[in-house]
Amino acid sequence: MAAGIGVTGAAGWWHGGHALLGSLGLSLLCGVAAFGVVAQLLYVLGASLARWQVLAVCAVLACGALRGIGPGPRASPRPRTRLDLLAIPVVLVLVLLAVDLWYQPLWAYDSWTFWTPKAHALYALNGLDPGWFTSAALISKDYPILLPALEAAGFRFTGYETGLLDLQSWLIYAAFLRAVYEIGVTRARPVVLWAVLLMLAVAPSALDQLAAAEADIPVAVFFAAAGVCAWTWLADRRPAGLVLAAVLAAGATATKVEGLMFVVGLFVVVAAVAARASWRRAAAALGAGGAALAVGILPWRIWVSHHDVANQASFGRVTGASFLARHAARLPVSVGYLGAKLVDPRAWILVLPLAVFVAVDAFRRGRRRDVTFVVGVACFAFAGLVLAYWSTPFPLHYQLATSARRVITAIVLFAAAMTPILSADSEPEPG
Amino acid sequence: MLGAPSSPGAVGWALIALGLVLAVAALVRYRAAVRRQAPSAAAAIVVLVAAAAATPFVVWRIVDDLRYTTTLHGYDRAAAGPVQAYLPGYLVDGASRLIPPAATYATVVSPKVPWAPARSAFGALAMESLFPRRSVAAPADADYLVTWGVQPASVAHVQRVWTLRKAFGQSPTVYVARTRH
Repeated sequence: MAAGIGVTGAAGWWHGGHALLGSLGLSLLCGVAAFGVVAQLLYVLGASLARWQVLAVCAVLACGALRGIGPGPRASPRPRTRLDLLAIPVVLVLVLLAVDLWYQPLWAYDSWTFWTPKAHALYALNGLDPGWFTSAALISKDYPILLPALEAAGFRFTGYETGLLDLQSWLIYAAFLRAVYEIGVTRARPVVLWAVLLMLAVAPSALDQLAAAEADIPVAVFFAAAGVCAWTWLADRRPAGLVLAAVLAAGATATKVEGLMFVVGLFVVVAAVAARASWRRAAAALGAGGAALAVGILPWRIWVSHHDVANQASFGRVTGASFLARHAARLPVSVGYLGAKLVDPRAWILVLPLAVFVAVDAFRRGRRRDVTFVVGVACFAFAGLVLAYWSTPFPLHYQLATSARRVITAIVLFAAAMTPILSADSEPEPG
Repeated sequence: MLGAPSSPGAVGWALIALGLVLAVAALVRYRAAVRRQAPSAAAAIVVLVAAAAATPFVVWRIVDDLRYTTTLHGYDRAAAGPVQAYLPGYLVDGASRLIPPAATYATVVSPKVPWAPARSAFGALAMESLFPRRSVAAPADADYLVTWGVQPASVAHVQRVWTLRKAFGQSPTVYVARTRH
């Protein structure tokens, strides 16, 4: 949290205590993302991330809070409505979930076969041991290590305790819901905001994924939060929005392989929308995206390449025209399967249907820029996932059955986060 | 969640049905008020009611999961992951006493092991049991072999073979072998 307050303070997102209190959720997400990216970089450079180093990284990041200290503008408080009482069931469900996650053992396949073993190795071997991390038996060797780095940092204080890993993901998810509230509370129709928050709190897919201690919730949260921050830059012309979007996007790319394509799509769309107003702003968006990739994934890719680790997400895989042509039948299957997962009420209740309805209504009301942004980012992300399944060297149906319900989470959370914003009557005027 | 039922069951379906009935009743009762709202707000009200209707079922599911996970202790908790992959968590226990810490090893699994997740996850189980030893891909390059359902001598030149775990049920024998280069 301290690191995150420093990151958001340094970016100029908040100024003064009141604004800080209204940014705690986003600050926590930025702190996790920033720490994770820095930790991955330090591991690549040979650091051990001992306890004092973990504290030092957080302390350095926290220094950014100095920029935000001092009296800030006091926004007029939003009138309370009876709908605010919905905070009670949202919080109660989250608390009950936290209790459940405390007792959850490490059972999900990806968690016990590689995510947590990597964290254990970073902790027990005092860093990124090339011999162990290139072991033949290690699954997904090329996956970036933000999540294991976070878990290893926790082990420095608790010892090797896997019981807390689910709660770590819970904290990230709860912070995301808080961030959705923080950004939507002054803009959105209250009923839309609370409908989204309640759905996110009780969505069975979110609860199941949190119990699995895998990386899908963190990458989805980082991507969705990056998208919302990028929107604030487009809409409110807040420079801090683009900075935090880049920080969170770096976190997404450092968390899972698909984070890379989500982030590329996000900043391409941001730049395209910004270009309508100014080429300089478009260039700034592309620069921010490039910086996110350079910091979030490039060091890790260099390490992977240097140690001859096969890269599952190579550029060659998605541009192999003959392979794609031979497997063209995968395209409609992937589109249909992923689409069905997106709208499955047993997983996400009615998050996507509400998002689509609100987007159509917003477009009718003249919020063309914002709807174009949301639809563009979501479509890019969806297309990226379809391409990934189309080009997979593994059996398609097995891949879809074991991963589709998880990888679509990023699109769902982004759409959910933007839905309250789109429900406002008009687009904010650029400042 | 590990202990959450895969299908709702009688109680779950009852909660879902109750939620649906209450949701429909609320929307019918207040339909005039809903119609007066802006389209996005009206849609959100419908969705909010649906989410509220689903909440009792979701809470029941969490409580049901807790009833199971709070009873897990010791081996059940520690081996929950391998067990989900049809692997006994103790399958490779003892191999660390036979393989020196600085030695490399390779794992080989028979395709006749009947469970696909178990065949895929055996290497990960061995990696956990033998941490921090390094595994290599080719048996011929390894100092030791850990095989499941495969005679070590059939995949590399071996000096000595230990039977780590005798066959039981459909699980074949687990061997550890020191290779000869």
